[in-house]
Amino acid sequence: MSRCRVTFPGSPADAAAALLRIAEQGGRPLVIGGGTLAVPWLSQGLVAPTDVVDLGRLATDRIEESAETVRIGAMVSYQQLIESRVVAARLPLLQRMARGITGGIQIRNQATLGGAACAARPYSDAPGVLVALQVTMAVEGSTGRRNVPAQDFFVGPERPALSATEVLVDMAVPGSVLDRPSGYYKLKLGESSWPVVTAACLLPRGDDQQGCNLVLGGVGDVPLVVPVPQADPGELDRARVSRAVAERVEALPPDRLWGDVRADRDYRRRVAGEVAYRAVRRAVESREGAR
Amino acid sequence: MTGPEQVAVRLVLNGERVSALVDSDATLVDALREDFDVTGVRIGCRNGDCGTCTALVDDRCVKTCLVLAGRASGSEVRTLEGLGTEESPSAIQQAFMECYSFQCGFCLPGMVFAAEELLDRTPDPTDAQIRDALSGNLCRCTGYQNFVRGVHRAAEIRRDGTSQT
Amino acid sequence: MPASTMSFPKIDAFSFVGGEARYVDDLRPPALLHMAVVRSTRAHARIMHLDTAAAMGVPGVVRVLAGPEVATHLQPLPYSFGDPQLLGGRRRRFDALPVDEVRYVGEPIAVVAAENVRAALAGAAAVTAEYADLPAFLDARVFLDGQASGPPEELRSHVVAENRFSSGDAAAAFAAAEHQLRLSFSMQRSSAAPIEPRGYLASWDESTGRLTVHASHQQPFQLREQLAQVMGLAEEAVRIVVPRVGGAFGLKMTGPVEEPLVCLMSRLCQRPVKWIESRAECFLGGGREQYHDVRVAFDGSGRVQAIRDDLVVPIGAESPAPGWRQAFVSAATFPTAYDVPNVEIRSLVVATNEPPWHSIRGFGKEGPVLVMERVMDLVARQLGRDPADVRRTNLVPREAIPHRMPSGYLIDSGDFHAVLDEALALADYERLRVQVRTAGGPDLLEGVGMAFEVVPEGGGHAAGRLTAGVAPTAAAPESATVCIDASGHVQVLSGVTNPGGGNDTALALLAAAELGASRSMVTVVQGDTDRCPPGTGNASSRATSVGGAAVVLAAREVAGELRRSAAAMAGVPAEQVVLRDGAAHLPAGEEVSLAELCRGIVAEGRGSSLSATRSYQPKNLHPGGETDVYRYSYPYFSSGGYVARVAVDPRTGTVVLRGLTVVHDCGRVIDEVLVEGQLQGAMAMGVGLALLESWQADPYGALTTRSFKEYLVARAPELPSFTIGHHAVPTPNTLLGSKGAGESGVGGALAAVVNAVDDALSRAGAPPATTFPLDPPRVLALLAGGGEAP
Ligand SMILES: Cc1cc2nc3c(=O)[nH]c(=O)nc-3n(C[C@@H](O)[C@@H](O)[C@H](O)COP(=O)(O)OP(=O)(O)OC[C@H]3O[C@@H](n4cnc5c(N)ncnc54)[C@H](O)[C@@H]3O)c2cc1C
Ligand code: FES
Ligand code: FES
Repeated sequence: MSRCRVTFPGSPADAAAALLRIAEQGGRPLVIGGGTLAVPWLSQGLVAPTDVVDLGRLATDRIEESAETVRIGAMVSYQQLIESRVVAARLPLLQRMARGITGGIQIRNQATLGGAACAARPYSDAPGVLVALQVTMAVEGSTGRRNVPAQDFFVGPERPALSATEVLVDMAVPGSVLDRPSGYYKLKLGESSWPVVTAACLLPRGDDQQGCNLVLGGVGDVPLVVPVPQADPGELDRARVSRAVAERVEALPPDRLWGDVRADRDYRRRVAGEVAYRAVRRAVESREGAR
Repeated sequence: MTGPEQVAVRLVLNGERVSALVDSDATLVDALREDFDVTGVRIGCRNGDCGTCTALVDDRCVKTCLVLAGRASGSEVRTLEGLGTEESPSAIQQAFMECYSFQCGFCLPGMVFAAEELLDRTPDPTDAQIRDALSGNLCRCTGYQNFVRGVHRAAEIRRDGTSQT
Repeated sequence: MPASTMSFPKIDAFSFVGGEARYVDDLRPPALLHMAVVRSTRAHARIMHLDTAAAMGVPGVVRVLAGPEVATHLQPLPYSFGDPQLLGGRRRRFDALPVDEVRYVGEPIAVVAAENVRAALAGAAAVTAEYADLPAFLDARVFLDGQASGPPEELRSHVVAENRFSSGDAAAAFAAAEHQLRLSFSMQRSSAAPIEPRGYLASWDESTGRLTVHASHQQPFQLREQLAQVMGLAEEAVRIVVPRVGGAFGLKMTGPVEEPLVCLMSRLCQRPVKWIESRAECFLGGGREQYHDVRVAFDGSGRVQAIRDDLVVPIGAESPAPGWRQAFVSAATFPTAYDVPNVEIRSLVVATNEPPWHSIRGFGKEGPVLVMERVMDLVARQLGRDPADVRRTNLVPREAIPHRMPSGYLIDSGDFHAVLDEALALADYERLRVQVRTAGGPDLLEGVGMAFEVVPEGGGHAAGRLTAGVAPTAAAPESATVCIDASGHVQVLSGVTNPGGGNDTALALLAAAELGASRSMVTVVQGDTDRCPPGTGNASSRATSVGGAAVVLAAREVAGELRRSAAAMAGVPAEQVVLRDGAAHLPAGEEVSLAELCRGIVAEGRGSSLSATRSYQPKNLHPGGETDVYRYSYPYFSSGGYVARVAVDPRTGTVVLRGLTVVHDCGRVIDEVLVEGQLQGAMAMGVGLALLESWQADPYGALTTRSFKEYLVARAPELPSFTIGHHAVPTPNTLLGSKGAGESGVGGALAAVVNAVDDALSRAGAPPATTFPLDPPRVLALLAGGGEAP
């Protein structure tokens, strides 16, 4: 007496084909990645799909390193990010974020990075980090694959740049951000709480001329890239960072500020500078630690 | 015959091969309880928050309310029932009984398996590591204190290679 | 020793860790149906039309019931715990389902039975309703204005009760006061949230006309009585069985409408029907919310001369369940452990269009503790004195106990000064006090706070003088049967139930001690109304102190019989026989095992077992010199001194609890491990109330904290290990001298943590914390000098 059909595609192309079929029949699909959000929606009756496309057999759960990029499959779990040697060595930002995911060992085993990206929620860790890492999102549709820069992928709150017939396949981290000193800070209201405000920071590698990437989550309805003054990272003090954040936040139309049951917009705006500064400070410390 | 609305679910459940036709929108916790008569996973929230539905699926600690039953087909599943026996409990079971770790016991599936997975990775954990490992499980009776003691005690039992005192 | 024969602190321990323990949702009789509840989406409205046809069309749905049909089958629901008039409250009629008007978002309006849970939910989702909205009353704070002159006429219809308690002459004391303070406090609504929600399995047997209900419940005998009444059955036709319960904390008392509805469904469908509450449904319920407008008069030494509190307690929609009665207890518990000569408490209990209150650990006693402890701290701060000294100046001295409170509650026992001082010493308060002033810096504010808690316990929440027109109240007894069979096995059948704590273990220990048996020889049976003698289940921290006393009396009777038999066999006086280690020891050094002794008794034809049933009623002391006669009320008070240490991040408002210490007086300690387990759980809840837990609804009264991701309860990483000490002052009012340990800890931990945070904030210049919980946005607002964040 199931209320919907469930399929388990074996490849991204199969998944896209299944979604196309559902669309053509006028159905309402639900894609399940790790399932930590989507399965409760289904079992609590918050969504009523006609068809479920469960990506559990998709085999996109690998982390692959090449000279130019690190590719992270959509179905890679937080625990895999924590345990991966490549991630630990070259993408400590991602590892630190994964370690801070709440929900215990189980959620770290089950929830996927791709799922967090596709959920595109402002109260979440991954989106801001993916934007800071300038990741390219590979999306498979019935007409083939396309690439979307992370910054364009997050269109609005809970709105990823995905059509109803597409799935996320993997996320490519460019060589330009690998091995860079980084810092991450998450503010939450308690162990049970979703993230409230997050900040991810990447500093230039050594003396090259890259800028500093600073991205805030949970302040706007999508990740906010904060332009940082071109100072020596060591000179990025609290006042400088807070000012940069305040300018960025003030420039945002009020209806694009985020607030929810955990904390209103005002609180988020008030702590944003401090959270950003802590991420920067951690990045600076990690750079100094590496020296 | 599996109709479009049912899936065949085959598991190795606590060491035994079992199978059933299950509603395709049923979660693994529902299938385990309704179709395979397991009571060592329970439903506290259906939302991933409380951990009472925790089991080991292919040796990973999993909240079974977050998995569709069909997806788990072909897996090996272990629940509280498949851990130890009264004569020879697992180190965690023994330690939790010794330390009065639990009261109503409803939260035990998550507590036991999270502790097992922690000790597999970290044989001599600190308080903070234990509390972090248990963080996916809610307990409303105990304040967690005796669970923390229990995990330390289990680490000791595992080291001494005996579950007896 | 193999585990199976080890004596763990909890009996039956392996059934839990081995996954064999059966909770109500584990029971699946053949032909079982599942029920789902359709709930109102409006806070206050007329039901214009309810359409159940589509639901009947959902595959698997067997039956749908709405208000009009239910009304033809069920009698109105009676009030639990006696007439509201006992508490000065008004009455109203309650039907299981509304026929024309809904009173809160989430109120049941129809129920659906189906072949499985998913079909039942789909059926419930297919029921549609049309409403005509009525004005919803959602914010009771409007009553705070003009409390003294009484509620304005247009709001009177919301007033359920007015409770006033006074002593001395507050007006005169305020007129003469050296110092005064006026403070307002808002305590948030919170929810019990046991990890196992409510659940019932009803099985109607047409052939015998009997109804059996398995329920995750705290009050099987009360449930039996009410179901019999509502269903029009004889009490003997109803059996309640309580399987393992996954925590209760007050939630699982009698009164929710799903109780009769699932039974009716079973009778109409002629099949067993089960209803298991969802987590979101479980979060509808709440309690504890209260608003205080407090005035304090005190002298330069910190001695409080007078206190006046105008409080407003919104209890949600009126309900037959006992939750709303906590409002009375909150008012009646003032001024807690303090000896304040002039007191005036004016409490308005008001109905709103939010879901009804459920009972909740603390039963109204934690609010007054929070308020009085904030008051003590703020008096100390105004005078620049140590908060410990101000408390010492005001605590009821040991010599003044028994102490009659303004409400008529009687503090029976305790040594508050000693308990406080021991708590301060155990926490090393003097050192902490210096440390928090020197440690920290601009990035971290440290704070230390204390609280003194008293908890009236043992049942009997009405209060006051027994004058003309006041209905008397009586102590509820608990009873127990103890029997020992021919194999020497002891069975204890008790009328108190076990919500998950360890009272079964405590009862086994008590019986074993009287019989000289080991705990493993004892089985405890609870929660089955066909087998156990009647009792109150699990309420008011009385399971061990009162239920245990009944067990002791019954076991003593059996032990006496055993001694007499052994004495007769050996030809010695019975007083010389000692029962110990599973045997009767005779003066000559011989011993006879209990099993052997029992075989002998059975062989003599004195029945198949030796059995005794006894009941026990706690006493109410009458202090010497008191001429007035008072109603029976709480027979004993436990108390505790608490010290918390916190660190506050001033730039984000987050708080870390570094330590929490208690010294507790629960009278005679029956089993330290069990008592401490209770305290740990209660303290964790108190910490949650201080920092995290908050029930919230949108402007239309719809719950927004529907899951554990919005309603935040403490998890392992945010709690320290607690330090616990005991200082036992036995109560004269129970057989064993033991008091309660079920509710203590909530109010004490809550107030100590709040005071610690406030200590840290005050040194950074923040105004006093008066609105709770102290979550990061609120803490940050305080630091910004704003005080009242929304
Ligand atoms: C107890 C608990 C604690 C949590 N703690 C945190 C935390 O600390 N921080 C945090 O950020 N999050 C947290 N989460 C949220 C967590 O669920 C997400 O971060 C998670 O990564 C989502 O991944 P998933 O694979 O489970 O997603 P799913 O539930 O499978 O899917 C989420 C959404 O993405 C879509 N989707 C998933 N995969 C794909 C794909 N490959 N292609 C197209 N669409 C897809 C789904 O259709 C759905 O809409 C927590 C969740 C729980 C239950
Ligand atoms: S029921 Fe699965 S986590 Fe609560
Ligand atoms: S022991 Fe009751 S919830 Fe953990």
